[in-house]
Amino acid sequence: MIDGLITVLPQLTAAISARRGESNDVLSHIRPKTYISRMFNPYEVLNKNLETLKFENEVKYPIALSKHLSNIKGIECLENNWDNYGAIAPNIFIISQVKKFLTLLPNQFLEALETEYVFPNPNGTISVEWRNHNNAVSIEFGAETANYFVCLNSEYNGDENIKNIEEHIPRALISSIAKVI
Amino acid sequence: MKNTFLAPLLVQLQKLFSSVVVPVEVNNSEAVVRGVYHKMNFDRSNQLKSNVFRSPVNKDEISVVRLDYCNINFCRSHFKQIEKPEGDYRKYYGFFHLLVHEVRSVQSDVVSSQESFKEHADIIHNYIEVQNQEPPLEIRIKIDKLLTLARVRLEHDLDPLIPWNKKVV
Repeated sequence: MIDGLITVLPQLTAAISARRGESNDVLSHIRPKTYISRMFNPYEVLNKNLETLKFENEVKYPIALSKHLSNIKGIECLENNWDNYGAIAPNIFIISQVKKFLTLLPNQFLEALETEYVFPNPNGTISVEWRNHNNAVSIEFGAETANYFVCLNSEYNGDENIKNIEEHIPRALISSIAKVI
Repeated sequence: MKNTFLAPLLVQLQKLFSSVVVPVEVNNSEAVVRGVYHKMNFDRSNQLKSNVFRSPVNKDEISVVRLDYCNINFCRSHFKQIEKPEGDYRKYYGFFHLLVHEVRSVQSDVVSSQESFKEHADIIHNYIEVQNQEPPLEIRIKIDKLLTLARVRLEHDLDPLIPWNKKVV
């Protein structure tokens, strides 16, 4: 039994090494051109748009949102009398409400929202507006409540004294934004 | 009929013969101008945003100058004089102008307020701004209508490629 194994072992090891050698040959032939160049070529990575490399829902939403959040940083930094007519600096609590509201919005709403249309008012409130030619949706966030109006073909509608709008966005508001954008 | 015919003539006569007298009554045909001091009052296509028509807290007065009793160079020098530039803050960018009847067409008003100087007036919305509280919809709609009527004149170029929060970025 042992003798048999001894005689077989060299043949087995030779066969394995031969296969390894063969596979090594194959790998050494393939790797530089396919695996290595495709996976690690930095030029190829740099030339591609990052958005297309990842899943759309994972990447596009944060990009649209982060654009607005970085814009809000500018609002956070405002000091009293920023408009030279005695405006007060925006309220921090209201800023956090606006951020929360924006995170709830669908991606297409965020993309349609111009960054500068998230803006402060002289009394510390913040407005978020979608404008498209003569149509508009304008939401104003106060510390306690919010209100919004919709202007479609010069006709105004809206709702006021809405509490927790940043947690429960009214359906009418969502459909109005969709109409305006 | 008589009044509408005579009013512009009277204004011209007052301009010619008396640079001192500015009537307390503000005529419908007058123009008013207001300086704008922050990029946040404009969008990227240099259109005004609604926050230019908002009063400071506990007030109902949007400060304007009556153009019919001075001239645009007086307004410019006044706007420039009161700027307090600090980066993007309180820097004079330009002005907007409106006719008084346009302001009154949205149920707001222009009233003379000669405390600071005789050509000074205020746009009033009949609403006193409350800190951190959104104004009623009626007032916000009024302001939105005013936005479509106001004409802007920029004195500095607002480059749309430069983000307005450049200071922070």
